[in-house]
Amino acid sequence: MDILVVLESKNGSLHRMSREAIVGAQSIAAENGLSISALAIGIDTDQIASSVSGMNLDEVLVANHNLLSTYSADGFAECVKQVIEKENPSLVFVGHTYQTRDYFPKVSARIDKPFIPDVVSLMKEGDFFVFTKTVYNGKLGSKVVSNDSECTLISFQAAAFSEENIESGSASTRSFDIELESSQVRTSSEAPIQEEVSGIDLSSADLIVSVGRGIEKENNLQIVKDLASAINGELASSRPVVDAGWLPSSHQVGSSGQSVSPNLYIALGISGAIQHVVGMKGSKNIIAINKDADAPIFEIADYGVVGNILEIVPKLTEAING
Amino acid sequence: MKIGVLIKQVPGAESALPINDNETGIQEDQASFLMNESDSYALEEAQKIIESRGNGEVVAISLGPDRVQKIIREALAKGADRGIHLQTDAKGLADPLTLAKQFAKALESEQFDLIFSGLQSDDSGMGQTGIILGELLNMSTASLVVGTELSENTLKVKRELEAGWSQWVTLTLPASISIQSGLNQPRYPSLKGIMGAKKKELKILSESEFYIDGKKQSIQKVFVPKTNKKTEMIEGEPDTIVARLVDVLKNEVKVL
Amino acid sequence: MGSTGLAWKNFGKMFKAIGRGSRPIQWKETIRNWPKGLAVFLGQQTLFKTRPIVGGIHAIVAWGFSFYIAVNIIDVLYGFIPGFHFFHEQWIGKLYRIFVDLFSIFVIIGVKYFVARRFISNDPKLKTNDPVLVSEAARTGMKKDSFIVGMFILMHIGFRFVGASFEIAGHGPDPFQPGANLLAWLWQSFDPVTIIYMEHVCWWLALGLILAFIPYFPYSKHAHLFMGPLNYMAREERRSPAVLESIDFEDDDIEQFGSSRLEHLTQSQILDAYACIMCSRCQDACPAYSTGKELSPSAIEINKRYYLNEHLNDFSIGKELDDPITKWMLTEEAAWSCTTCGFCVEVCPVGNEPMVDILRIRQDLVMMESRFPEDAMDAFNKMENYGNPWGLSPQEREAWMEGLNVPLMREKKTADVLYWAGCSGAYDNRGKDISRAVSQILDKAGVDYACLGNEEICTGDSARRIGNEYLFQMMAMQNIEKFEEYGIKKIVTQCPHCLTTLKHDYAELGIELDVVHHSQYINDLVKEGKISPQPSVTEDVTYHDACYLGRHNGEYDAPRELIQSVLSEGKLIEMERNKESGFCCGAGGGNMWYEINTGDRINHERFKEAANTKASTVATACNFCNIMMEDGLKVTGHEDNMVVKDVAELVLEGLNEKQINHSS
Repeated sequence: MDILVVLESKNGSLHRMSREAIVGAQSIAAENGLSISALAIGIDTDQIASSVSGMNLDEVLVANHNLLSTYSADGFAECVKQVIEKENPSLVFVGHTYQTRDYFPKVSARIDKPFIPDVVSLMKEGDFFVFTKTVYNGKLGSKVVSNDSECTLISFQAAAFSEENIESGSASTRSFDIELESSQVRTSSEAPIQEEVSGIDLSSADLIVSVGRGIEKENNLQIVKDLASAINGELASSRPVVDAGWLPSSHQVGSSGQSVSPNLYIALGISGAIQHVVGMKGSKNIIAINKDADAPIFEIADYGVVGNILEIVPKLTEAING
Repeated sequence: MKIGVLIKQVPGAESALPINDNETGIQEDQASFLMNESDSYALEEAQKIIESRGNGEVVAISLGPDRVQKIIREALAKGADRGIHLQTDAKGLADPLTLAKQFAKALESEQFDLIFSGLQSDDSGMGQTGIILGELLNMSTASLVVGTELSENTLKVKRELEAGWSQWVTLTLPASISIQSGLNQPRYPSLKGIMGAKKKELKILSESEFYIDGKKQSIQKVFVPKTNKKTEMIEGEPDTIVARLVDVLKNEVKVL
Repeated sequence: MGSTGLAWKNFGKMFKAIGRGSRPIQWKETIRNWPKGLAVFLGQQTLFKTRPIVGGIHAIVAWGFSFYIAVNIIDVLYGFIPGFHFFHEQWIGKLYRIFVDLFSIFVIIGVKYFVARRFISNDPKLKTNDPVLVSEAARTGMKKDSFIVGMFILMHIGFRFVGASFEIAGHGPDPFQPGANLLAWLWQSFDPVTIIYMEHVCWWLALGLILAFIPYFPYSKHAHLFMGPLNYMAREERRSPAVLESIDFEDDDIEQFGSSRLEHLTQSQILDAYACIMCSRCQDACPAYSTGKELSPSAIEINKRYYLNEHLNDFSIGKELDDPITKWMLTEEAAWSCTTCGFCVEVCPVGNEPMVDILRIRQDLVMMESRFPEDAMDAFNKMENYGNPWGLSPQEREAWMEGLNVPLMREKKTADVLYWAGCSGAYDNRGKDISRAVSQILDKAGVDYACLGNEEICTGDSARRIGNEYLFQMMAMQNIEKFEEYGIKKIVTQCPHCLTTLKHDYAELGIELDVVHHSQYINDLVKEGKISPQPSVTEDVTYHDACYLGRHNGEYDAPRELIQSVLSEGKLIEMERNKESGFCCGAGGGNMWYEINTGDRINHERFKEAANTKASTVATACNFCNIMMEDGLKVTGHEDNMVVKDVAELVLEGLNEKQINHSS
């Protein structure tokens, strides 16, 4: 096999990012004449094997073992190692998930081959593949190449490829025997638990709707809360709103508040003074609505609207819900 | 109980990052360097464990040019017992596999019970060196650690999973874990700590003592992403604006 | 005899207690300063900075009391030397007797007023509100002490007065003691033996009370009589109110940085507690107290005094008292609530410096105990990693220069004056506006100046005031190296904090710099005719005094003169709390970087005061004040009818120059 895509299960079915990794493989397979195989390890292998059986791949390997029925870093790393040693893929693709971040470095160590993580795109340049990943926390991009022609491990960032582009076909299933002793698995895990979130931890929020002085009155806060609910975002604010007592200080973002770096930060009626901006400039996407065209927030926003939030926000919420 | 903590000196979140002339990295003289954020949490966690046991030592280890001694001293000021500097002027964002081999060569004789590292560095962001090092030294490993409980023969760690879930995992010793930011409150060095740090051992290893040739992966080029901050000002009637915003949310930011 | 012995012992304990402190008072110097002490004692001028009426009454009581020292001596002589009279027939004796008579009456009335104020009308200014820490000993002790002192004065003077009236009853009326004459009328019917007997009783009671009271002085606030003037004589020389001595970190013998226990305080600070009259003028003045924080400067001194009283025996003989200051003198939060505005030091009638106590306590909390607000730690880390408390890249310090031709020191190599923009002047949007205004003015005036640009790092003011002396020195040394490299001697800066630090704190580290504030420099340019701003402002302007320019550096006039120079129909309206009495904006002492969530926001208080003047412009002369006032403007909803401007911006407008705005 040329490309091995290692699959991951999530809640009994195939992880979305595994699907995306398959798309990634498919995107280079045809024009480079590469064959694609997939590997399902230990958990929900029947469901996973069947869900890829309708995809354009050569085959899906199923590695079952009583020591692989739950995830362990040692177990899964050893399994992937054995598959690679037997099947000799030159490229191994996975999604960049919490799970692969845990065990793929171990695979890299065991087979002494490079692991290029969190890749956003790849291109063929001459005989080599060049992988693009961000560095410096997303501020710069880099082009990375592997110096090992035998095998390179790659994980793809979420949404590097779109699962909508998956090519259908048919893949056969084959069992793969793994040799694993219990002494090789040095960890044991308990059942996963979900945290009770007491207080608001904005620093890990992905989506934030933030409100500033432009909201004018405490009663108007409801329109912002409605928008936050509509897009499933967390509510935050700049200091004046907290000072006025309209929101508790746990919502405050800024130099004397929380530092956030969500995927999306919507700043409503926030001027963008430096004390606020230093707390949120790490946001990946910023949408700002403010009635003052000179508000400094527009210097850092990706999308800006000079307008009245009292008018626009309710309409936006309606359009989203509708 | 001996805990080795790998710490890396990286440009800070607000640092200028001008690209150097041959486009393989940044111009260092314009960058503001500091201890990698998740490494400072790893260091604090190691410190807390040793302090609660009442005995043991924390060793701070860093690889790089002379400037990294600043963060080793910082670690010593925060309570680490001694430091090790793997001195090299080699430039560029490194290959974690080779780095880990270099650490293994330098540190094997230390026989650490635990190796702590930050989850990933704020420059290359590979997130592997600590785990690979653990493999090379025959230690059990775990990443994305947000809590630790050390007992006589095992280390229990709480691993962060997606979507607000987490899981406790028990590891045999020795173990190497990579630690997520936020699990503790990194201390500010007291003056006593700062003064004391000057007298603590900082061993400098020259390249001959740890260097390993070869790079399994390399960076060909570093560039400024083309989508530079260009603010799209959405204009028009409120309905037009709202329509464009929904479009952005759905198709560009992809949150709907 | 017993009284003398006891007095000697108690006074001895008091001075031994003072001697337990650090930084010994130079007693020879102190004694040489006697004119200072005498001037304060006789002049009473320190009482009039606030509460002039109360001050007036006290002056009378104090002069009366001073006079009474002479009276007491003469009385003793009168009592023991037969036939002694103090120049009874000469005019000097007559004058003497009139003064005695009148003072006796006035002092009695005065003290009655004070007693009524404290016990009957319960003047709130003499109380300390929750949530301030006031020790139990202080709470009960103060009332008791006031009562005792009040009663002592009333009875001492009262008995003497009554005694004088009995003397008159016995020897005949004395036209030079009108008051006593009147009272003598009451005893007319008494038989002569009783009269003489009563005269003697009164004499003994009056003088006896003094003897009884003298040993009590060290436990009473009444000790301020002499400890107050002594405090002025012994006071440490300070270049500016918040500038402490430098710490030598190379000295391995130093084990304690800052103060966590009573004995760590300086001798001068322990003396403060003995000088304190517990009038709480400092508490009135304190911006933290008046916005409901845990801090009261008077509580600090009063708690200190009562702790000393309680532990005087042990403390004076050298016993170690390990009660942490933050448990009995003030809370940790109180220490962090201080904005180092210096008002408490300014108004204290006896020369106390509660702010200095706070600064030393902060040094201990930061450097010894590593316990301080989390946001302060962030500020420290940012200063250390990026060279500024905003935590922004040093490479961005020249962003404000865009579109202007600002000369850089590294290119020009030398210049008459260095223009220091400071961190807010480089990173805050409004600060950048001010920097641009200043440089445009300097250009227009043809000044030979240059900027360090990216080579500037924070002066370290915030680090020092929060108590991180080590970080401050590290940053200072880096700047000093730069100054020496370029041979810089004269600096102009728009930030009063930079002004204070570069001029005074850096001098402690060995570099004397001639530093002026931009309002002073620009004012001089106007006076020299280098620029002529035209009066164009038609609406009223009010000026908010910056603490670090005003109280810390004595400059109240230059910004006002600049404002006057651009006013046409508009007037400069003063807020009630102005100049030496200016109310802080709330950002000083590190409070710019962390929040104290108790009580109200200081800047909102101050802005309301500004808004009450009905002026449409609030003029500032400090970047922090500017940020705080603009915040206050927004929160109180005055965006549509008021603006906040720096004096440089007003001058620039007066020069008919449009501010060149940086491109978005």
